[in-house]
Amino acid sequence: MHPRKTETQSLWGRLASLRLTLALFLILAGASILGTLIPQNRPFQEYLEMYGSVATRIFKWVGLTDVYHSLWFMGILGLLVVHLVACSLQRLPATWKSLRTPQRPLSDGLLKSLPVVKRFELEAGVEEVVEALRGSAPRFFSRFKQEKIGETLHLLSQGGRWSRMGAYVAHMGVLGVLVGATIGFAFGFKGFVQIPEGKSVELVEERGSGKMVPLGFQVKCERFHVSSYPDGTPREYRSDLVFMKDGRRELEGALRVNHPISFGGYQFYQASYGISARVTFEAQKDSAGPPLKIIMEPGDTSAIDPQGQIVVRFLRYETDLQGRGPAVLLAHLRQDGHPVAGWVFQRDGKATIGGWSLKISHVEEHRWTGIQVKRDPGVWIVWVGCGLIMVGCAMAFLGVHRRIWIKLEPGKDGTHCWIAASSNRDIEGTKRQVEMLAEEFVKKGVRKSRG
Amino acid sequence: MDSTELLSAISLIYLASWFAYVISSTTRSLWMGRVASLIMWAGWAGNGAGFFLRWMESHQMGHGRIPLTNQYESMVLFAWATASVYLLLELRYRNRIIGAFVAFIPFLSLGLGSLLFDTTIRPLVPALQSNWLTAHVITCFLGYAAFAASFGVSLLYMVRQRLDPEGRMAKVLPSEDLLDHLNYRAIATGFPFLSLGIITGAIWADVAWGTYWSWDPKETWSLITWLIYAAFLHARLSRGWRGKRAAVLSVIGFAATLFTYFGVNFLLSGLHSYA
Ligand code: HEM
Repeated sequence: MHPRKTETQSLWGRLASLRLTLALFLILAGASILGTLIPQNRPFQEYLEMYGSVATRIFKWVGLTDVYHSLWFMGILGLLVVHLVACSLQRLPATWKSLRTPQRPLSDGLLKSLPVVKRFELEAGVEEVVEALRGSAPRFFSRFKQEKIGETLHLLSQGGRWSRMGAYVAHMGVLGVLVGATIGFAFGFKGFVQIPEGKSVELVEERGSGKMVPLGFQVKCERFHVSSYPDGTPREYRSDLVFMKDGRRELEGALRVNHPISFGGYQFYQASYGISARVTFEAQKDSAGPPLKIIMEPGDTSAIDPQGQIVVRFLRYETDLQGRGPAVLLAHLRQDGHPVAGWVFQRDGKATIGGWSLKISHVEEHRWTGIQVKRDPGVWIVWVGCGLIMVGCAMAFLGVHRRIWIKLEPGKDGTHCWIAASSNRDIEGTKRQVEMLAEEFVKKGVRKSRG
Repeated sequence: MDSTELLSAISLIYLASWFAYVISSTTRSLWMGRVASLIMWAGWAGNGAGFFLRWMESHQMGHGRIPLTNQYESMVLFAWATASVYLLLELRYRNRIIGAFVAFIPFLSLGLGSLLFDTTIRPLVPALQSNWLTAHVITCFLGYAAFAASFGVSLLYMVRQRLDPEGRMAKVLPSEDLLDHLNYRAIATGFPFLSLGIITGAIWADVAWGTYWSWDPKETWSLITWLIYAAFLHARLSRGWRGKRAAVLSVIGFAATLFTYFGVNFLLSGLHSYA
């Protein structure tokens, strides 16, 4: 005996069972619901405030703060893939075979297994009925194959076989989407870059890791433009970009929302914009001596004293904070490791940091445009998969696989007639069709001599 | 009269039609049934007129766009789509009793839409200026409308089951088999539309932001709804998942649809601040 074989068969059988399909659908739905009820990917502090330390630690450990990228969620998706493959491998050969084998004439055994059967008697003989039908509805008649067994005539018709393949096409599509998404996740790139008006960049910050990645070419923003409707609603955000390689202008284009630009294997998307500034500060101790000049832009860190003891970081710039004009959010990075942040205003402010007084002497504003940069080698597979899902659904839901058997057996006085049918769906419609067929036969099956 | 006033009036016409359907099915009056259908058709035509009037009004304001871009406009479309799906069912199956279980949906959608939400016509911000958005909203709402019909049919199924099978009412109602079949047909129609809605939404997101799927709560809930109806369709392949259990699954599916449509906007936060 082969105990191993039966074991793998039963495992395979279980992997391909419809029950597992339903279970996977409902588990995925449940997990997705969890991910919408618990806020995802927030700072640790926020979870602590919401749920307390014990629950937060459990959530972090189980992966509930990033459900859709957790190992167990991916595991379920992986199981879905295995399951889909198992289902298809298990059922496709049988489906294919049953679609390829020709329709057998109606036997007694078959008759018992068919869902729709109608039996009635006709006065006319077999040939007479067939002639009458051929004369009145040749198109209808040509759909039937004729097969004679002894004196009995069998008419066989089958349609919509292709619709049985719809499910397989849709399942291929689902696989395609999951495979394409995985490829994008593994080999794709997502980044963001801010380009000041008139400047160019060649490094892009990778989302998540924060790494600076070279593009291999330069992107210059010549101009950034916002236009508005009369009521103030923004109408268009537009960056006039130039893509340059080795100093040559290779491509120029207007980047707008909903109109991305492709260059050098990357796609560029208009994502945000803002105003930044080059700010000149003057630092002085005890109003003695000439002030020290320091020039900074957002993100810069610099010392404000000659000894390099007092270090500040330029966190943010606002053109007009609370109606008080330009302001800079500065953080004093103290040596005890506890930074202190505060706003410094150009108009009325002098900040005092570590005994030094600091003021803004000059502001040079410029606009920047925020651009999303992406490369996704899997996205076309996702779109092909989506197409297959739609084609498969259309095949499965619009088509009906229907088989009709008609058996005409000569009797002593006329013809014994059976009409039977089967369908993978729409038994109601098939029943109606059989009733209509039977009516037609009864009309045509009246003996000619009577009239 | 502007489109907003017209559409509020139409919601009352839908209400009248629902009353007429209820009266006709409880009194079994054929005459009343005809009146109900007639009012429903009038509501459908008025609903459509209101939709196009609003479209024209936006052009007169100088920023013409198809009215599919906020909560109110989506509810106008939902009412219209539900009424269309119902009228198709009525034409195809020649049965008005389903009306008593479906006709309140367009009334509620239009009525609540007019009462609860901002009806002013606003121009489109850059992210919404996309043909994918139009395709996305229309396909989603055709899906939702088919699911609304399946919900009404499932309710009717549950009522039918509780009735005395020999009773007067049971005799006028469609058979349990037919209702079960209708439930399946409605979902088998809605599911491809919802799929297409999710796909066009993903394409739009990819064109606008460079990310076709970001697990935003609205996206996630549309996926949850999709999974529930996929479970419904696959469950039918095994025996024992017809009738009562199918009706229950269909009601759960519609609850998920409503949550995707409304719940997410008000209870969860995300990219989709409108329909
Ligand atoms: C995840 C998304 C899925 C989609 C969109 C999908 C779609 C479909 C569709 C449209 C049908 C035709 C339904 C009908 O004829 O009523 C179908 C049938 C079927 N599906 Fe799926 N399916 C999915 C997943 C699965 C999975 C994971 C399995 C695993 C077993 C599965 C197994 C089947 C089977 C066995 C059939 C019947 C095939 C036949 O008619 O012989 N499906 N599916």
